[in-house]
Amino acid sequence: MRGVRTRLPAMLLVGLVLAAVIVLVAVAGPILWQARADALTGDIRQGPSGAHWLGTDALGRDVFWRTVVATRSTIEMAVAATAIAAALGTFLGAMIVSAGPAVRTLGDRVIDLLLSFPPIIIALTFTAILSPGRASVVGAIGLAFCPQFARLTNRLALSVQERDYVTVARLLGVGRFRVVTRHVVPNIAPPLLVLTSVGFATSVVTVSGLSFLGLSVQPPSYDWGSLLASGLRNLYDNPGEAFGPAAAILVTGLAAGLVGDGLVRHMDPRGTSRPHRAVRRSADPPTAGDASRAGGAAPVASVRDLSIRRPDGRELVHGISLTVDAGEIVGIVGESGSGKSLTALALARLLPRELEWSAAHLNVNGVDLADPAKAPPARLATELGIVFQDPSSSFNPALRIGTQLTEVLRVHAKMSRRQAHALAVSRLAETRVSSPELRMRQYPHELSGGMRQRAMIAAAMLPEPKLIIADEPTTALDVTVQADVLRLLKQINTTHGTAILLISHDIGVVSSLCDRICVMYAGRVVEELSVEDLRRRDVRHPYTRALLAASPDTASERDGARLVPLPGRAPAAEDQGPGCSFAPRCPLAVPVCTEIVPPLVAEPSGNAVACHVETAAAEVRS
Amino acid sequence: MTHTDESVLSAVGVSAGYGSGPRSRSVLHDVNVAVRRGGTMGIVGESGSGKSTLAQVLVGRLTPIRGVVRLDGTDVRRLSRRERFAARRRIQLVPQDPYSSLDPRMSVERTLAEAIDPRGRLRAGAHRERITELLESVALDGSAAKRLPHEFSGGQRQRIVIARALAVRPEVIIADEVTSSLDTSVQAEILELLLDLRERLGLTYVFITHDLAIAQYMCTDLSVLYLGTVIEQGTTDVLTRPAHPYTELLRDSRPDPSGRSTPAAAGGLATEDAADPANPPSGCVFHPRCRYGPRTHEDRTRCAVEPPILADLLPSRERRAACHYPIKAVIQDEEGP
Ligand code: SF4
Ligand code: SF4
Repeated sequence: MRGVRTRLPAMLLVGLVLAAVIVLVAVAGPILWQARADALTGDIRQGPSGAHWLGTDALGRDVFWRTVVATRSTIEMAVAATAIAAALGTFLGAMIVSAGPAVRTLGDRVIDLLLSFPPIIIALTFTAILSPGRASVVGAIGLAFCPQFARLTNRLALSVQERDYVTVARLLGVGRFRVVTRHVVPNIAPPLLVLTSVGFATSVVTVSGLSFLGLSVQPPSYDWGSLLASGLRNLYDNPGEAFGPAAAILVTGLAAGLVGDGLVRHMDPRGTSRPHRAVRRSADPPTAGDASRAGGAAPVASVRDLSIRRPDGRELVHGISLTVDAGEIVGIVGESGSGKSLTALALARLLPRELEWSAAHLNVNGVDLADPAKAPPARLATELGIVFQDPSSSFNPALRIGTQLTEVLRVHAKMSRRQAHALAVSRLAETRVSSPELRMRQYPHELSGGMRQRAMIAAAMLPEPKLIIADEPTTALDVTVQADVLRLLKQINTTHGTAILLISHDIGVVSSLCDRICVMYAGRVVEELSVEDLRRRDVRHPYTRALLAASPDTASERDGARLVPLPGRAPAAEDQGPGCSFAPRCPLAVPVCTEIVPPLVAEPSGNAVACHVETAAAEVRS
Repeated sequence: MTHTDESVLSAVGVSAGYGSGPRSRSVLHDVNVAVRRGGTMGIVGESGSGKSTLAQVLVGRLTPIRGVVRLDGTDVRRLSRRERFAARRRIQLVPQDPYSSLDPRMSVERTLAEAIDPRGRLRAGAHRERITELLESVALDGSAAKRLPHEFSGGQRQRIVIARALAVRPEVIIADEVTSSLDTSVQAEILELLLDLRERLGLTYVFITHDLAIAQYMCTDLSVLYLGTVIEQGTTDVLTRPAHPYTELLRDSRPDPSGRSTPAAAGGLATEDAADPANPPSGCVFHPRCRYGPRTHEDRTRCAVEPPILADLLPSRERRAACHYPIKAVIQDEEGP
């Protein structure tokens, strides 16, 4: 719910005010204005005027006051119907969850069946059977909407019951009933509330609809539906007659929606803290030094001064520079929040739309990505391949592997179906997907996780890109499968000369595959070093050292040495100070650290480090 | 494995699974694990190995189809209702995901109070001291009590979950992949905290993990699971000097920052993916992937037909493996030339 629609609490306020007005009108209307609404005048079918704001009907009655008075009837019926639906549906849903497997299956089937009919049809059928009238309409609509509540309750209760906190509560000896009242009910309430508000809005429409068809209130009683029906008959004489009830229905629906949504946000324990709406501040001056190495082959990817900002102006990545040479495997290692994945996404031009970025220079294989005009997407698709972390979500579950693999080739490389198929099969074979012909006909879920990730790599390799960006490609995989995928990437690099940019949180993974490693912390590259130096543990930056000391991989080699946890935690984008981001956790910090961001300074070896103390020490050494 | 007096918790010949009737799925097959008091038993395995199911059996959430779970040598099924309630509280679970294991609507204080007093017999304020004490034991500030879970980072949440487990003064803590959702630096914090608590409170751990480095760092004993069977068991050197071909594969698959074993550079044949746990291979379940089995040695046909049993390899009984042709190095080391 959150994040998708960021709506202001003002909306809730508007909804509540609207709802209050409607309730007030519903209660007071018939008491105060019944006489005005029923008064017959000589002015028949007149258009809106000062005396009759919405004109008059065929008997000369004032439409505005009739709409106002009708509020009670419609709202009463909608409230009653929603209450029946919610109470009965929630009860049934809860019963089904707690019943045995046989009843549960049966209940699920029945609900499925009922849900396949539109509620209005069910309501119509019931009303037809029960004979027209207010009570039967309320009952019919209540019954018609109750499967929706039953299904939702059922789903929610099941999912909450599987939550670890419910499991743990049971293990602690908390009784069944207490578990339901303390953990299950409060956690399923918000979605049910939304459904109730939606249900209410729909009930208003359905109540009016049935009455519009003459199945509900009978003259001389009236509600919005029947007013609308007679209004439509007089549409050409007085459009106001239809407009009044129609607007009333619309406004009521809107109010219900706003209140439901607002309440949910209010009840959500996380909803109370809203994202900051900070004033945009100008970007930091470019600070990171230029650590790109001189000479050598033209890089397949190079970035200079890449900054990425949130919509509120906070910087997530602060002017980093990075190059990947042809045929090189470069690793970016960092913890969550380091900006490593954002950097990769920026290179692939896949940043979420709400993030802004800027770069002095962003070049992939000669294509200048900083200038959208020069980089049509089709071109990009052949410049780089992308492998994501989760092999189960990188493929469309509804399409066969073959369709997905050949699509790119047929659209971008304009290949024939035959050619594309043959190439895809050979790539699958090359990435050691077993029985490739069979896989082409299978759906993604029919492949194991490892197979899917290999198929993903095959897909990335299809257009023979110069660069593959692999974002945590093995994180979701088992260790034996991970080893396999790493081997595969290495092999592709050797046989095709494809450069690879590997993003990982795992220092073991990067050091087993990469030639060169960039360590990122809080949106900056803090150290860049060769894999040999990393393996020798010849690292300079205090953060890189701390990372190695905290990693159990290396601890077990140190024979009995304990892990050294890093004190504190990485700063959030909003509370980064002016100096080195690592200063609050750094054992070596000196006063200048909190004032000036240390530039990334290259050493003769080609390594680079961004640390005041280290740089000073290096100067002393030389 | 024979049951010894020092094991506080043990699974003896346990088979378990989910569902019933024709659609049932069996996940564990004849598993024996004995957890020494004060030790840390690591249960290591990949997905489909049944390690989480074993955790469920050990905490008493899942009743085995065959075999028994013993607590202090007593079959838990023999316990009366009352005793079972008490027994349950002696074993606590710390689940993997610190986000889903705390009720998002309950303050830390209420969460802990519920653990201390699950039936809600005492007034809400009665537990204040104990709550502060618990928070201190996991190095959290007393001010944390009033706050809601979402106000904490992943590592802090995991501390709260640990505090909740400690609230009932358990003897055994079953930690199911407790750090797999955390960053390296935070992970170190949690692991050190657990080690520290083990010493201070004399706890016994069952440590379920897919991460070999963590297993090696944390545990005193190890059981390696593959497709629902224990294939190797022993003290921590299981991972450094494996006797079972699968354990060896695990060791060699592990990326190592020192670069000594680099799976990426190793090259060679792709290993088959693990078989479908619902439909395990005949004989030795590992034989389709085994580099010492019938795939490479034609005469070793027995691997494909006869399931190996978990047998003692060493006179000291410190190593057991389920393999017809265990890797010899371990045995020779102990027995001399
Ligand atoms: S610049 Fe200062 S605070 Fe930053 S890493 Fe170096 S010594 Fe530590
Ligand atoms: S029993 Fe045979 S196939 Fe199984 S692990 Fe041992 S050698 Fe390999």
